[in-house]
Amino acid sequence: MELLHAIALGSKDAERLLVEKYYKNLFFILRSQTQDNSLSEDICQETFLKVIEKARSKEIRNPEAIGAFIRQTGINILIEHKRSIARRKTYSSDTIDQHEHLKQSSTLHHIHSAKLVEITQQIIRELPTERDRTILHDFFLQGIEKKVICQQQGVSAAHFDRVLFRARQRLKQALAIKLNVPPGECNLYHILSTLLTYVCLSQWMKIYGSYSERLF
Amino acid sequence: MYDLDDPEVQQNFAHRYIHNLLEADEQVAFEEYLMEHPKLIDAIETDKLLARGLSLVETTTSKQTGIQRSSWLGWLLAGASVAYLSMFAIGSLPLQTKQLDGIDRVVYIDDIRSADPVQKRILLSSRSEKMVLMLSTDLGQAGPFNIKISQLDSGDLVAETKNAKQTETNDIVILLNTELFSPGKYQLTTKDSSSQVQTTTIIEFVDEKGEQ
Repeated sequence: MELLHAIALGSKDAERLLVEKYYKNLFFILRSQTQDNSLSEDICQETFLKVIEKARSKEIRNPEAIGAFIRQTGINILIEHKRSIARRKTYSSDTIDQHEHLKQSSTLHHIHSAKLVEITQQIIRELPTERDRTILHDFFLQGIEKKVICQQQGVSAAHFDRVLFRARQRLKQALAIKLNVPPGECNLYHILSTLLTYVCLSQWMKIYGSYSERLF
Repeated sequence: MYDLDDPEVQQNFAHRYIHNLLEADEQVAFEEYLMEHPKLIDAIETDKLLARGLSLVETTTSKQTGIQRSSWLGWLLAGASVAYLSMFAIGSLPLQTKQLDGIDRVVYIDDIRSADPVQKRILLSSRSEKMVLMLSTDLGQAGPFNIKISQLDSGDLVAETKNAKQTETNDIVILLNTELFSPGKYQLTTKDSSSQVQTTTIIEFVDEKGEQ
């Protein structure tokens, strides 16, 4: 992988690009497992420090699987954290303060319950039949699998996909309007992660910068 | 091992990932795939948001259409795979889940994550009401939560609960009886046991004339 090669040659830009490419993905996975933004961010930072150190010293054996390597490094750090957390009785208040702004800026927090209810009610109203409403309910709330729902409701897979596609599209459109994003950029990942990414990267680069200064 | 480029397989994995139904090896494979396919994260975030919205709508609709408690509670239990609701009683009032005979009101308090105290005005009717407080918490708050409601001026504790858990949509569901309260301001303190982060919200109860 060219990025790793460039990092081994000392390119700071390549290091930044590596973080930009994988940070959000790793953060999402860690947050899914921890439900904790601050912890996920800490582990992300530690992960990338380790990965870049290994990339500099050419210790990454399979560059083609760098994504998997970053994920596994992050998971290992998370496991180690879980092992050690019993020994740690309290969090330092400095750590909490340091990441407070990240908590406030992260993704779904912007969507208040009342507004989300309003948007969802609109989506439901637009569904043509009770059966379609049942499909959404069973899939998203009950966690029933697609093939089971199709069988129960007597609908084709194509119809099921259409119902979900419309609901997802309407949600994205409504959010785009609420967040004042141009229709052409109506991508939930883009909308919800832009601010988060900016904050994460700023935070990481700040910490990484001071770390590098100490290292060299 | 898994053809995650196949849209059907991808959708099936994403759905089961959201509901924590993947086997260990499937989860590893899917997360490795996510590392290289960030657009799939968009789909998962969208679905989580839709699930949260539908969950909230069902709560609201149950009240508006006068669905009896059996249906309401049935939904709560049935939805446990998606929205793990921790229903609990506060104080010594008989507000155990099984004893509910209907919910009169749902009050959303979205701002407990805020560092600044905010005021939420809640109208007290002349009769006793069973009220659900939905507290939207920060995704970074893992819980469980210790919650106290006390009178603002005197500091007298009115209600308390420990180890309240979040729903999957990051809401804390609190059942209250309005008999606990008289017109005036109350302090609602939520403390995340895992992070030790504490947030405070001011709730103001007003009587039907809008006066304290």
